[in-house]
Formats: sequence, structure tokens, C-alpha cells
Amino acid sequence: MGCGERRRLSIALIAGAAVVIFAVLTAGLIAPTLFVLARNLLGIGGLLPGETAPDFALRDAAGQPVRLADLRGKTVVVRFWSPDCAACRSELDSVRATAERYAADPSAAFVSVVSRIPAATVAPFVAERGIRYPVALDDTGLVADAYLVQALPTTYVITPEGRILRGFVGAGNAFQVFREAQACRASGVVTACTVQSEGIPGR
Amino acid sequence: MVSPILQLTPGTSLSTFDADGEAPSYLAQLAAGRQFRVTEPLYHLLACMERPTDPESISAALAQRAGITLDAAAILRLVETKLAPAGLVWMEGHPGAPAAARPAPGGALALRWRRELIPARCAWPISGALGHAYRPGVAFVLLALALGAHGVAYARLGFPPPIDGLTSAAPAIVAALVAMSLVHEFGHLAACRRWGCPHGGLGVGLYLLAPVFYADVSPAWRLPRHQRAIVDLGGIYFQLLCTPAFVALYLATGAEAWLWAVVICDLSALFNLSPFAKLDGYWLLSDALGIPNLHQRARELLPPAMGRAGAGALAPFGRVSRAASAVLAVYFGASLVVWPVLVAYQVVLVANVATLYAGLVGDAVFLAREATLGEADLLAQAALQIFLLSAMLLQAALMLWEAGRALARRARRWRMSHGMR
Repeated sequence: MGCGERRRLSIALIAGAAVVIFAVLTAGLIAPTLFVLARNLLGIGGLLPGETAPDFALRDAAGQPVRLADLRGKTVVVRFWSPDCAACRSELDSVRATAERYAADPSAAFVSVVSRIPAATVAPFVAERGIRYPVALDDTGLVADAYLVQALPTTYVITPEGRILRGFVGAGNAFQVFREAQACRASGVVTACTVQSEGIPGR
Repeated sequence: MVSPILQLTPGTSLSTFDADGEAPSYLAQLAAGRQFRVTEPLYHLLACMERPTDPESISAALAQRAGITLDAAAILRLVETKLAPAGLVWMEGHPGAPAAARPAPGGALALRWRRELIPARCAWPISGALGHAYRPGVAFVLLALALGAHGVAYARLGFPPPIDGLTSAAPAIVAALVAMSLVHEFGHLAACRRWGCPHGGLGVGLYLLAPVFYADVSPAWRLPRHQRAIVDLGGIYFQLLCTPAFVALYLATGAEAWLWAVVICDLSALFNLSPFAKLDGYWLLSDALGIPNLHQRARELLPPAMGRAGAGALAPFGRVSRAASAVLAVYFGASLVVWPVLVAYQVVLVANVATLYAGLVGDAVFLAREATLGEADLLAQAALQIFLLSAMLLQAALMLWEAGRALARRARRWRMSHGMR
């Protein structure tokens, strides 16, 4: 076998191995990751409009029960966030202001959920930041999973009939969320009730 | 009857082509940029037409130059049916040569809506300056910097980074993406310059579902394979050189978005290296194997009964080597797995975007009103989001339209071949 032939064979071996490696990488890692990334960057992740909002029954940091079923008949804003999410922290003031603004509305509810974060971590943060709306704790993360939460913050507007009106991924959409809520409500305002779902793994 | 005068179309250049195959092959490039791979006899024939000549003289010159016997009538027929319509040869009285010089549409994986942003004459001095980055010593230092930047980024974000932590198209991320893509394209141009090869300009177009930048490095076909491989990798090399700048911006501003730009840079580099779409990895594999039409050659592995397209089109260049054939077979098998996955993800993405599009446009209008209240950043973010979503839907519509037309054409051809009207 000549030198040129050996070189050609080596290149072919490397190329063949690269093709197999990239086939596995592309189908198993690159395509799914880029898909999630594209959805997050475009703000279209999570449940789609018209889907039934999964019910949940949680307790807030003070031990008070928070059930989505109890809010049937109201327009509900459910916001998934976490104290260790920088984007969520950057929006705390605007979310708090909006929640407080609508606190007296009997036809709507604002629910925030923190997933997979211990209550011992959440409670001091809530106290330190002066968050007055209830923060529901989703210890197991099942609620976040049911709502296909892939990034924080994720916010859903749920119709009085219990269906998803819109989902929003990421920060910077407070106006959009509350505009949708306003459009959905026949009358009244949003009352504050934060569900805190227990953190997302690795965050 | 007076013989028409024939001439190689002015501006067309002929050169050797470094490719895999039993027979040597050559390259003919039109002044407009379109290139043709040509066989050795055809190369000699074209070379005999560099000056305006009649077919009889060409026949004699061809016999003298390469020992090939081709009579004047055969030369005339070849020019009339193939070479003049392709724009390679100008023929006295032949009408359609200039129009034929346009590149043919490239199917579903073609770059659409190409618009040149930086013409070659403006890109030329920039690529010349950037070409120094390919000097071994400089490259070593720059790559070490990039490696250090990756160390900082992944130490802060963790490895693997929690991709779900990246939410919404923050302006910093978009700015990083645009800058990185531009630098990527200059990497290809600079590699061309490094090997002393001319290059075209830099522009923007739509590829698959996204707006992309492109660099015209078609003249790189003249280079030997290993130099073409460097041109292919040049984009990713330059793109990685952006990461120290991103980390520096993170250290200066504290904005985590710049660290995510490093992650996106790496993901984009990996996707670019994947050889299945016509991205850098495709061209790298093509140049490593010396096979210019990987998809076409891979399709030739199909039995004729399965409607292989273009089978035998490259037969004049001889069979590819057994080693390259084996890689082609692996590539074909892997494509059968990878493409359905890629298409499925794109279909779901387009379906999601189509579902939410009206609502998102409504939000942009709403935000435009709110912008007067000091929310200009939200407006910019929403406008960008609408632009990206619109481009994606437009591209999906174009792809569907072209697929529909291609299907209709095939159906028409099938009906005609079966004697139906």
C-alpha cells in the first residue's frame, strides 16, 4: 500500500468516524438543545394556547393551601420563578407592583410557583425582598414538569375555564402577560397569590 | 455552409480540481461565479476555444494538444446542446448564453433571498488584515485565549450549562450572535486570502428557518483539498475567537448574557460542523473526501428502482475510491436517521410559531404604545422577536411552496413518461 493510499484510507477512517459521531450528536444532543434554545429565545416554550391547564394543589411558604381548581372562574396568571434565577430577580419589582396593583380584583388571581427549592431558602428571600403575595412551593417539581417549564421565568395566563390563554418564557414580558390577562377578564382585576414551584434542577 | 465562430465565454477561467476519483478533473468558472467540474477531454476542448475559432480549427487543435479525435460536427453539437446553454462557450448566433450563466436553484437546502451586504472590494482589505490570524504563532495565542475564555464561562455557568436558564432573546445575546456570525464569515474570507485565493463578498440570506450571513468563497474550489478544508474551518475558528471578547464584556458589565453567548457560540460551532445540512461540516467532509456533491453521490447508492436522482451524472469522472465509497455509505445511512429528526424538530417549531404568531404581533403593537413610557428595550425585544418569527414563517412558506412545485413537476414528468395527459 503506497503512502498516498494510506493517507487516503486514514482520512476516510477519520471522516467515517466523524460522520457517525456527528449523527449521534446531531440527533441526540444538538437538535434537541437548539430546539429548546430556539423556543426559549423566541419566547414560545411550554404549553400551547387552548391546552387544559394542569391542576395543582400546593402550600405556600406560610403553609396556606393554593389550588388551581379553587380559582376556576377567574383569570389566573401563574408565574414559575426561582430566587436563584437572575432574570426572575430582575423583574421582581415590576411583578410585585403589578400584583399589588391588582390585589383587590375578585375576578382574577396571580399565582407564583417556585419549584425544587427548599422552603428554608425561599422564605428568607421572600421576607428580605418584601414579597407580600403568597409564594407556593412545588417541592417535587411535578407542577413545573406538568407545565413544561424549561426556563425561568415562565408565565401562563389561564382563562376562567381553566385553559391556557398564552404562555410566556423569559423576562421582559410583564406588559404582555398583564395585557393578556386584562384582555381575558370580562371585568375585575388580578389578585395576588404567588405559587412558588420548587426550583429547576441545576439552577 | 459557413461554420459559426466559437469562443470560451470571456472571463471564464480553467483550472485543475483536486478531487477523489479515477480520472483527473478540472474546473471551469464563469465570470459570474458559477463553476462547473469538467472532464479532462472537455477541459482540453475548452482550452482550445480560448480565442475565437471555427469548429474545424478546434478539432485540429484538440487532436494536436491532447490526441483526442472529435470532428467539427460533434464539437458543434456539444457546444449547441451543452456548453453554450451553460454559458461556458459563446457561439455566434446562439441566443441564451447570458441567462444560462445564472446559478441553478439548489433545492430545499439552498440559501434563499441572497442579498450582498459587503461587496468583495470592501471585504478584500479586511480579509487581508484578518488573514494574519492564520499564522501558526498568532493562531496558537488566539486559540489559547479562546480556551481560557471557555474556562471562565463554563466555570461560572457550570458544565454542562443549564440551557433552561437562558430565557428570551436578550439584546446582548442578539448582538453577540450577529457579531459572531459576521466574524465567522470573515473567517472564511480571511482563509481564502491566506492561500492567495480571490473571494467574493459577504451577504445575508435565509437558510432552513433562520436568517444567516454568508461569504462567497466559490473561488476556493481551485485550491488543493487541504487548503479548502482550512477555508471550511476558518469560520468556526474565527467564531471561537469571539469568546474572549464575550467573557471580557461579562467581566466588565456582570451581565450573564455574555457568558451564554459563549455557550451559543459552541452550540452553533457544533451544529456548523455537523455534515448533514449544507454547513461548514458538509463542505469539510466533501473536501476531505474530494467529492463535491456529497448529497448527490450519496443518493446514487440507492437502487434505480427507488428513483435515485442524478445517478451517473458524475460518471465521467470515474468511480470514487473504495474508502470514499464506504464513507459515503455511512453518510447515507446516518442521513436517514438524522434528517427525520431535524425535520421533526423544525415542523414542531414552525407549528408553535404559527400558533402564536398573531398574538405576538399584537404584543409588539401593544409594546410600541408602551415604549413611550420608557419601555424602549421591550419594544426592541418584541420587534426583534417578530422579525425572527416572521422570517421563520416566510422561509417555511417558501420551502413548502418550492416542495409543492417540485412535486408538481415530478408528477407532470411521470404522467408524460407514462403517456398520460
